[in-house]
Amino acid sequence: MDETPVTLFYFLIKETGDLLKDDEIKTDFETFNKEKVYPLLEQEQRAVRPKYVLSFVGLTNVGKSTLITALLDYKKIAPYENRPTTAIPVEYVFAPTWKIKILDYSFNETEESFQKEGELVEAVKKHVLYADSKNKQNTLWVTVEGPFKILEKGLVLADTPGFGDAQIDDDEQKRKNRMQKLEKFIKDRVDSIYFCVAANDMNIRDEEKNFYNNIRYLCNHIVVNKWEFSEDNSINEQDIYEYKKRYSSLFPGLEFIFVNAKNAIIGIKDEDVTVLKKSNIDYLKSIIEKYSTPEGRIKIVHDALVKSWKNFNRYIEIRHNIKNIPWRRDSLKRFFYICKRNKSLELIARDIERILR
Amino acid sequence: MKIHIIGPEGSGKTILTAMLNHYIERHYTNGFKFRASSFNTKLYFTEILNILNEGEWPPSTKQGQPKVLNWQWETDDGIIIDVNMHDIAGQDFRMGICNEDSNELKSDIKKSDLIIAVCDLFVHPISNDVEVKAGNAWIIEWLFNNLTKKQKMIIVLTKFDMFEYELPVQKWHDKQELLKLINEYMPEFNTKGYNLDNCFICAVSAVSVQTVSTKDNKLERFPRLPLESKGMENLLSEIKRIVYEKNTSIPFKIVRAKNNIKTMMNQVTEVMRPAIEALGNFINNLSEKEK
Repeated sequence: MDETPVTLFYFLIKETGDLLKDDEIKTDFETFNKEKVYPLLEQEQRAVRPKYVLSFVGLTNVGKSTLITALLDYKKIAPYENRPTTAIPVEYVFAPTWKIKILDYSFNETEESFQKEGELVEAVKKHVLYADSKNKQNTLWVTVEGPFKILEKGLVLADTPGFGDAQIDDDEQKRKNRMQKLEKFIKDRVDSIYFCVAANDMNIRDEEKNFYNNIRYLCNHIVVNKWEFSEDNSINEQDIYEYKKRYSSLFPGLEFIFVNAKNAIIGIKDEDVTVLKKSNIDYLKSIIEKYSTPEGRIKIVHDALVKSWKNFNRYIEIRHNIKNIPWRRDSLKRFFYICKRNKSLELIARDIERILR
Repeated sequence: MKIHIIGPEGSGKTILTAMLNHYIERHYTNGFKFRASSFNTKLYFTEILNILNEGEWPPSTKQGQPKVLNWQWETDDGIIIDVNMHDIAGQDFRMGICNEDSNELKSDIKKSDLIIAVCDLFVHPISNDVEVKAGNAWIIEWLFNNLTKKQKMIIVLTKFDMFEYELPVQKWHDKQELLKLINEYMPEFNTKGYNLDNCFICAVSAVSVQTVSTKDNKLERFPRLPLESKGMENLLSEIKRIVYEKNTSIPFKIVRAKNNIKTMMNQVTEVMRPAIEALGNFINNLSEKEK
């Protein structure tokens, strides 16, 4: 890979750390690289991909499929009555016409085109949600194409099977296998993750935590679904504060987004603005919008880099009482020149200019 | 004509010479031919290139296993240049130089018409930084103190793609700019204390690097494939200039320097000056005789 702001920041920390004599500070440098900078690099590498896959991941029944349906603005769909679970990964891609492509385990692809949105929705239900066990076993992958507005700029949304004990036909071994398969799938095909939890699940399970830990390098947002917005349409600040306080230690540094996907679907279907407002779906859309172009995604990574730079300096200053980190000069300059060329990294460039003086 | 290549451990001598000879072999038009004097030298360079071509760094020379590499360059005009380089570990190297008795290394240096001193400003942090930096400075200082007036020196700064942000490739032969960088990154060597008139400085990147993420989620720098070098023309043209200066009987051909026409012109005028002056004197003499 070529040199990027993130790789040069990584090398700056590594090369400076290698020269330090104090083992404790050295370890802090190494940990920071491993925990914060490397994940950022993963995101940076993925940001420039022309096909960028954004996925919702979470336990079964937190409402991932409903959320995606709401985001895609399906007009002719009702909330799923009896809560079927998604067992097959589904990818939603922008195309001028409605189409569904099904890939099976022998790598045969079947294609069906539709004139109307409604027909497509029925087909998705048939193939994905209510597929019988034989079909489920055979289907590897489903791609749904249509003129989805939110995907217009090339973003791809992926609906992944949920994990956890609500999935049918489970014994321990099978579940483990499925989790591993899901993890591999995410690492191979997904570029960014919105981790979903349900507001009414008061306990976040170990399984959820473990799974999250394995994929968190791709994750910037926690989506809290099924959030009950208060009657006067305002978001209940106190509740949100309490919730964040309780869970922010589990998901350090991530942004919480509170939504109610069911309200969104009802609102879209009935064209009822009051209900729609109680879903907060527009806010989630506005965030996803930022991810829809490579420039937008790079900007997000750069913003995170600026934050990392500031936090690292502050952390070392407070914890080790070092006001001026003895940066390795050539590494610092390399990082400086690349920051100077990127407008979104101006703040770092200015900081370094001060240090170099 | 004899050339000796010298440099502390880890400065990139091995990769520089392997890539330089590879470069000479590939660019037939540059006026140089490479000829390995022994099978071992040829084998050694081939091995180094193979390792580089696999995207790995060749291992550094181990202590107690010195290697003397000999090869020849031949110009289009048939001038034979003997080149040698002692590839030895840092400890052995310092011992070799400091040793009061004359030894092979010292006599090789003494016999050479041109010394190419290899050092690097991007000292790899894994190596013992202070030791290598001091080693870099010490060798150059030692050379300045021990070279005779007839001996020429080229200081080659290797791994310079790491400084491309500060100094673009077009300026990799700009002595003043390079001295600035030496002062900044190698303060151990005081450039003001020595007369640098007789010495040429150039920067090269024998192998461009790329960042690779390893299996345990770490970043490292490895050779970029396919292998590419930068700044080799500057080094070669300077070597050629010195070679032709020594062999004044053969007229010097135009130096091929890609990046900077100005330098090329300067070099041409510099070489031509004695000839022009001689011609002028000759004409003066003639006219005097006629009178």
